[in-house]
Amino acid sequence: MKTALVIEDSFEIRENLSEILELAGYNVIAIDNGKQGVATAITEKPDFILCDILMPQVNGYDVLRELKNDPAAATIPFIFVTASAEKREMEHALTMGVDGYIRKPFDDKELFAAIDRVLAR
Amino acid sequence: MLPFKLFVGFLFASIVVAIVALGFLSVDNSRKSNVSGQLIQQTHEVIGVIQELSAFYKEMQLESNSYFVTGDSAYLPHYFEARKNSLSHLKKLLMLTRDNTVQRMRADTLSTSIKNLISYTDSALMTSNSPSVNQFKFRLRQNRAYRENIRMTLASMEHEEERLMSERVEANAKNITAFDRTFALLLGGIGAFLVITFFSIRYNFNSRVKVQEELKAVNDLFINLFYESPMGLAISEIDSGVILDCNSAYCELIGHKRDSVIGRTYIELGLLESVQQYNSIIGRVNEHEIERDVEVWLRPKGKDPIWVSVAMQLLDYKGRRRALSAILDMTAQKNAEEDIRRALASELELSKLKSNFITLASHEFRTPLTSIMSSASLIDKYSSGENSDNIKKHVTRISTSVKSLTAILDEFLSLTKIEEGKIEARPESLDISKFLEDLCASFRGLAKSGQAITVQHSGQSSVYIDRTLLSNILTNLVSNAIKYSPENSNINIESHANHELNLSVSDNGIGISKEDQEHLFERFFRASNADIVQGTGLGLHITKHYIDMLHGSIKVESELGRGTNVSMKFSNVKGIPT
Repeated sequence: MKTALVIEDSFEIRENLSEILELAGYNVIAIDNGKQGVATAITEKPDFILCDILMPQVNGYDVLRELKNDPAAATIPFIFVTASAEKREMEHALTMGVDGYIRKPFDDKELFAAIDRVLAR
Repeated sequence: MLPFKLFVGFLFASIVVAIVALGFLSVDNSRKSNVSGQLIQQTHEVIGVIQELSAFYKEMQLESNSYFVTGDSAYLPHYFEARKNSLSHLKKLLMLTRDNTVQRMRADTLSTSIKNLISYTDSALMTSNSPSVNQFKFRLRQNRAYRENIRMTLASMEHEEERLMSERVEANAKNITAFDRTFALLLGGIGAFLVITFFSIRYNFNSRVKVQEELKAVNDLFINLFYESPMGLAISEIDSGVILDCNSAYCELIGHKRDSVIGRTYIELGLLESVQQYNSIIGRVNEHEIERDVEVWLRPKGKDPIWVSVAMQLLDYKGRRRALSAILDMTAQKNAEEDIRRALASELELSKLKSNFITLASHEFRTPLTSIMSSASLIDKYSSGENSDNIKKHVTRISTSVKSLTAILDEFLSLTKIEEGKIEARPESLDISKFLEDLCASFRGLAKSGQAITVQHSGQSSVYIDRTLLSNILTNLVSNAIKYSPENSNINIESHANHELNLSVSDNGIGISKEDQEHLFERFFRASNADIVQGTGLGLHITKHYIDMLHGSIKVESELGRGTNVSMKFSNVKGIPT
């Protein structure tokens, strides 16, 4: 069973996303802030990470940067799940080495297509 | 054109030459008349001498013959007296005819004949006091012969002198006539030159008067313009800045009376902050002859400082180079500029607020929408039993509404970005065939039941264009084709690339009326038959912006109930903006 790490500060989204993934057969670890998300990713080494960008204190970019700097976590497929519609944010994320990008709101089809793409690499 | 002074000089010179010629002619004519008169007088004298000689020689003959006939010695004194007179006149005649060869020869012949006659008569008087009849007859014959010879000679000489007299009189008359003619001609010439000179001077005088009148008019105009101008005008010395003259608008502007302005400098009047400020302006004027739109903070007497615009130009004034300054109060304009600047800043602030609000709203709406969407998805997964179909129907409705709302948010956001100029075209090499296939694949999931989306490409595969903008354009057009076409219909995407990229999206949908086609790209416009689908009326408006950014063109051909074909054209040369 694949393990997914969900880092999302919105309770409703975090819960719903976890539930959708669990119903699809994934083992889910849900974290509500960036700092703990980084620590969990390093210790738990999930198969992929779904991370919000806009979060208080440690945002999604910080999380990605920290993990890319950690040899043990650098290779974990990383997908941004963001409410931002800014094209430059997507470009910035790609330059930082993100593997996938999902814009909110999304449906199941878009979600699993993105997960399948990063896991297939 | 010949200068007037030269022309008049030429006329006067001509008159002087004519007068001098007239003088020479008169002198020459006088000399000729004199010579001619002398010759005529001489001829008169010669004729007189000839006639007197003829008389004396006849008297001499008469007295001698009387003596011979009567033997009365009383005749002898008369004879000798006549003889003496004859010889003296003969001598005189010889002298008078010395310049005329023919007459001189005749005079010599006459002299010889008279002297022979005298000699013969004298000898007869001395040798025979009582001649015989025969001697007397011989003497008479001899005397007759001499006398005839003398008479003929005298007659020929007189005739010749009379001929000369006639010739000389005629020549004199001709000379006088020629003189008169030339004199009249010269007088006429002088008169004509005088008339021309008079009219030339008069014309020139009139022209000068006219020019002076025009100059006066211009001067009056300048004076009026200068003194009555609503713009402050002043004339000053260049180096010192001493003001030589100014108008009332200038005085009013700087708050000084005219008397206190004339003869003082800008610095002395306290108008400028420093000498360096004046030197800076006048330096530029000296360099370029003219300086415009120099904005200066002027300090009028008894008033608050004002912004003025100064134009300064060098000109000749009373024989010297001066500086003409035109000063315009810019306070109102500056205030207006400040108002506009504030309004613009306010507008920019509002625009920024609007943009920030839309960005924030877009972001903040997406979070609850994500919750709604994901909850709907979970409800769908948990639905079972007899109401599952109704549940699924409402879940689909929720999902569609969320997508519609998201699309509206995206369109508002795109329009804001376009209006802020935050979107710019970044062309890159693109495999158009693959790009269209991928795009088409992503649309197939959105297509209605039985809708077929096909792609056909021809020509070169690589094009140079902004991928994102082209994707946005086609996404909008194909989405419209899907939304406004029925189930089981075809949507065709065609492309052809060479030096241009031609793209078209065609469908068999509801079509667009001719009236609506004219307004298709207007903001918030929705076609009259488009109510069946929700929308903002921004999609094609945004699409047109994207096409303009790519310097492309778009054409819509449509018929109600038959379908729509949208074709686009972009240049496809690297280095030229697409």
